[in-house]
Amino acid sequence: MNDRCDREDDLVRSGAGPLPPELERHVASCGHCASVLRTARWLRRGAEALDPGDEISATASSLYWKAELRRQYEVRQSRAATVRRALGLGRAWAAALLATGLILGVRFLVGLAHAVLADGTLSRDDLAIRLAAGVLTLGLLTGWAVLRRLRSP
Amino acid sequence: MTERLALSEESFFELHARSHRSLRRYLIGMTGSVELAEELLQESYLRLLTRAPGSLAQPQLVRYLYTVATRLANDHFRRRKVEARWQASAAGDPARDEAEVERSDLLRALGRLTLRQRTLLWLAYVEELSHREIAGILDLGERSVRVLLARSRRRLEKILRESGVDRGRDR
Repeated sequence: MNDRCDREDDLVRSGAGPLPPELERHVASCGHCASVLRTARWLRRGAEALDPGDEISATASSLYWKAELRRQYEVRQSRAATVRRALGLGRAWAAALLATGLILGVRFLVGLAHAVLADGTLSRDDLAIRLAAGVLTLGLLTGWAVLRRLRSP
Repeated sequence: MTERLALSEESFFELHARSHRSLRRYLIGMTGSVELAEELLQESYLRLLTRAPGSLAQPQLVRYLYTVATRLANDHFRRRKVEARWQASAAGDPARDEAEVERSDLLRALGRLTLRQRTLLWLAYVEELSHREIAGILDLGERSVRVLLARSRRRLEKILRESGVDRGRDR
C-alpha cells in the first residue's frame, strides 16, 4: 500500500456524511484511501464520544481575567528584574569609585605627612590638589554610606 | 513584556467559542485524562493571551493554540514520565453504553500509540488539518508528516485488529 494518494485530502475533508459517488468509487479501488477513511471515521466517532460537556470547563471570561492577572504579574516581575539589574550595576560602580577614592585618600595622607613632617614645604597647588582628593574621598565614602542606607529595608 | 493581552475580550470570546470543544477533545485524546486535559486547555489559552503575537489572524490563532497544547502535553509527559501509565487512567471503567464503548476503545487504542502518533492521527483525521499545517504544529517537515502519519495509521490498524475493535469501524 502506498503512503500517499492525491485524493487523500478530499477524503479527509469529506466530513462525516456519505461520500460523493465518484470518491466512493475511488475508495473502493484504492487501499490507501480505504485505510485512511476507516481510520478517520473511527477516530471521529471516538472523538465525539470524548466530549465531556461544558460543566467543568473554565469560562472564557474567567480565562481572560486570569490571563490579565498573569500579564500584570509578569510585567511587575520584569520591572523588578530591571531594577535589580540597575542596582547591581550601581553597586559595582560604587565599589569601583570607592576603591579609587581610598587609593587617592591614602596617597593624599601620605603626601601630606611627607610635606609637613619631612621637608616642611608644601606649595599652594600641591595643597589644593591634595585637599581635593581628600574631599573626593570623603564624598565617596558618604555616598557609599547613603547607598547602603537606601538598600536596607 | 506586552502592555496588553494578545486579543481583545471580544475576539478572545469568539475564538474560545469556536475552539474550546475541539481543543479539549484533542487534549483528552492526547492525555487520556479529562482533568489533565482541562488543565492543559486553560494553560494553552493563557499562553495564547499572554504570549501570542497580536498580529495573528483567527485561523493562525487556532493553529497557535494547537501548537501550544501539543507542546504542553509533550512537556507534561516528558517531565512526569507517565506515558507508560497512560492507559490505566484512560480506560479503567467497564463500558456501559455505545458512546462509552467508543470512548473506551478509542482511549485504549490511543494509549498504545506514542504521543506523536496520537497527535499526528488526531490532527490529520479529526481536526482535518493539512500535512503542511501539521508540520507547522509539530515542527516537522511535510514529508516526515506524511511518512509518520502512514506509519501511525498502520500501527493503529494493527492495534485495532489485535484488540478486535476494527470489526465495527465502517458503520
